[in-house]
Amino acid sequence: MVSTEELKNVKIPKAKDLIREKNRLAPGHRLCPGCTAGTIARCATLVTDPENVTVFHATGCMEVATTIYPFTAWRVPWFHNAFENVAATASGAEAAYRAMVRKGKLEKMPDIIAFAGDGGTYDIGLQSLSGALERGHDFVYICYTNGAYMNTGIQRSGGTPMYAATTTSPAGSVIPGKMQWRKDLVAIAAAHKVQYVATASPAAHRDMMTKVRKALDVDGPAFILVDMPCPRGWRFPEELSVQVAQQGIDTCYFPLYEIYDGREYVLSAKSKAIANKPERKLPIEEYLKGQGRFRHLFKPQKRDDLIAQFQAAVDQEWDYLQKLCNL
Amino acid sequence: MTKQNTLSEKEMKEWIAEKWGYEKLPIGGSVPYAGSSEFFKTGDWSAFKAVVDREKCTKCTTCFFLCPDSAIEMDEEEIPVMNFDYCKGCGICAQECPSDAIEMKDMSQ
Amino acid sequence: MTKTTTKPGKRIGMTGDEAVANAAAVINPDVVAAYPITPQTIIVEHFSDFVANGEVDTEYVCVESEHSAMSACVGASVTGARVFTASASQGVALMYEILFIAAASRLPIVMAVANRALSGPINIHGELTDQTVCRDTGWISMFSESAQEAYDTTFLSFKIGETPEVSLPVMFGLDGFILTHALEGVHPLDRDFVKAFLPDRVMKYPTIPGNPVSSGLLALPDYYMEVKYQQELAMTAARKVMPKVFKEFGEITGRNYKMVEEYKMDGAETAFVTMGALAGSTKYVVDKLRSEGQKVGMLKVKTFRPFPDEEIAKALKNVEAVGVIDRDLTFGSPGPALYSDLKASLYDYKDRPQVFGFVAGIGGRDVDVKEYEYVYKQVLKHKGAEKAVPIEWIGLRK
Repeated sequence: MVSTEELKNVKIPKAKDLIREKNRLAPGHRLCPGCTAGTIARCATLVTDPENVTVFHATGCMEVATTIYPFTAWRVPWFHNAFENVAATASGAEAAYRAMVRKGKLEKMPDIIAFAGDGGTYDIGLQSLSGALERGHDFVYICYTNGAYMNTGIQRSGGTPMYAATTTSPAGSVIPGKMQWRKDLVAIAAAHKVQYVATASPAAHRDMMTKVRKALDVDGPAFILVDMPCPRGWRFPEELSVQVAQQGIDTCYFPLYEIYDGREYVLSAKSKAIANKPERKLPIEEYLKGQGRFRHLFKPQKRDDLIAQFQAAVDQEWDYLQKLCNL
Repeated sequence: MTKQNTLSEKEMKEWIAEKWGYEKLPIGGSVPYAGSSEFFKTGDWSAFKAVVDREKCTKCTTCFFLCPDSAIEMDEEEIPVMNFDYCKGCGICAQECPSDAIEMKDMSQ
Repeated sequence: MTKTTTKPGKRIGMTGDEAVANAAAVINPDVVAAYPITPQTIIVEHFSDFVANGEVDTEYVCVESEHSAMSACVGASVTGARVFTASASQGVALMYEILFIAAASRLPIVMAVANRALSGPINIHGELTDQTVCRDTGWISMFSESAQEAYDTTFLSFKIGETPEVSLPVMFGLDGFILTHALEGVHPLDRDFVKAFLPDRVMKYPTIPGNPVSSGLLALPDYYMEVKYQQELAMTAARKVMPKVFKEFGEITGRNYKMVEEYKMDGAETAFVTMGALAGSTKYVVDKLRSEGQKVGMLKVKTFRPFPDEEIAKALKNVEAVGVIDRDLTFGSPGPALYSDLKASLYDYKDRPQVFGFVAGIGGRDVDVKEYEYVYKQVLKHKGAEKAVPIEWIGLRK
């Protein structure tokens, strides 16, 4: 058992040591240029022992692009089952490894990572995730969210932002994109009272890697939601992926924080800096105007009413989060 | 744990070149080889490649971590070396480099 | 307490569900991931008792749905572990998507199916449809006639599925309530038997730490066919492996199972063909008809997949007409599952009987002796018919 105090002090190797590690994700995969799914997969696995980790993956962009038979980008054991069940699949594997450890067939439990997009998690995968968290399996669920079912062509998911245009929630002459606010998946995960839940971003890669290591060190389930800007689906130039992620942090639309034991909220450095100096918080318009999926909020006419609603919702959540962090 | 029952590099290359059929394909759709995607050169995707100005590089290592394609390795001086076999020319490294040490160049010129 | 005894020849009273749970406990699998559904519930409840009392070493995962049950079984099985589960009806239907994946990934998961009718309307009683609709999943599929057979088939399933050239998941059924909840005498087996009969499972490319294997990749049109064809080859291998496994089991226990069991087929001019619990009652009716001088026998099809067409053709070579009794449904088709597969497979044989199809016992409805005798009379009546005879639903009220 790892105590919450020990968890807070988990450290990852220095950058100069990590750069000497052989990538657990090989080059040659077919993710779109500029897709930070590659960044996330690389960083998350870089803080694991490649001889003692197994990866389970839900159907989605990252899974498909990294494993087109017989080309696999994974240099660690990897298994894909179906779309909505990576948490259940990882649960079964975890139980099997436990049995093997007891029988002396395996020296110790490996780190187990379950990767899934918002597609395979927010909606169709929610039951499977909830069951696994409730049962307390020792694994980390990393949901990379690009806010839509991107792999099948940018369809709306429970993680899609309000007013974002997707192919199943298009911005038409009557309806301006998706009408619902995104589902609060982090709160749902935290409600299971697992020891560690966190949000992360490729714009804070060291923070992300530290969080993954913490999550893996938990003796039980842990959940991380990682922001994953998508050049294709969000419609921005591919070199700006990390910039857009940074904007998510700066506008407080995707704040970085951790939740220990389902009740202790801690802001991470970049978001803490904004809480300390509120003038650093950027208006949400900065985030929206750079992405083609929000184009209809600006052209043919600027929808200040909708942008204001979006801002109000962001502010409400940000204020509430600060309260939870006792700030 | 030691590696069990994985194919050799020679076998993997053979598989790809010969396009194995049902007699030779490993059971259950498994690919018992680490990183066979290396045999697929995504560098072909774009003429643009990341080019490093070694003088400007401050060895912050950011580009190494951000590259989605594992196309950056650090040499003994901790300066990035780009692997053009796999660089898709996305430009994230150039965009994020704090010292403007990386430029995306059209190599077809 | 696991029901076992050191007294040779002594039978212990067990319901079908208890028998399956006991068999699983004796086998002591690495992982069981299951979700309860009537009439399978006693299997999982009983097994839970064994777990709680430390009588098994199994990691028992109480999943939140059958879809997750099979998903967890797949996740456990890819590590090379020995995995067992059980379900029925709606549960099997819910995990349907994953059944295909389990077979394609060549994972020898064993699943007991407490055969129950599918909704709608919702019905909890015995019918084989939940399993017959899985005939396309790539699983080996067997049925049981008694609690003893269900007990024994649990052991047989692991042995068959784990044979390397087979490496396929296996499902075996026992009629809901009729077998699952009825008490019968069962000769138990013990862990010494398991040691001798069931060696440790060996998996070629397990997903274990330090073994960089990727499984479950996206296969494009250039490769998908070849990987799928391997599954057909596995079924072909199963046709050879299963009789050998049955024989070995028979040599140790004295209980000789067959892909197709022939009952009083000597000189039979007519025959019943059926699967599952109905086979038991059919045998009784054959005895009765034989005592009345009728030249009739029956075939019990134990193995539905791979379909034992050679065995059936051989057994029916000199039979004039058969009445196939299906305890399962399909609509708008040439006929129910056993009937269609049997008729289709016999088509190419020169010496084959006329085949007449009957649907009975649907939704758990009892099939009594009179109704079997009615089937027999109908077969005699239709014999020699030149026009096609439609499938007849037995005991149907207009």
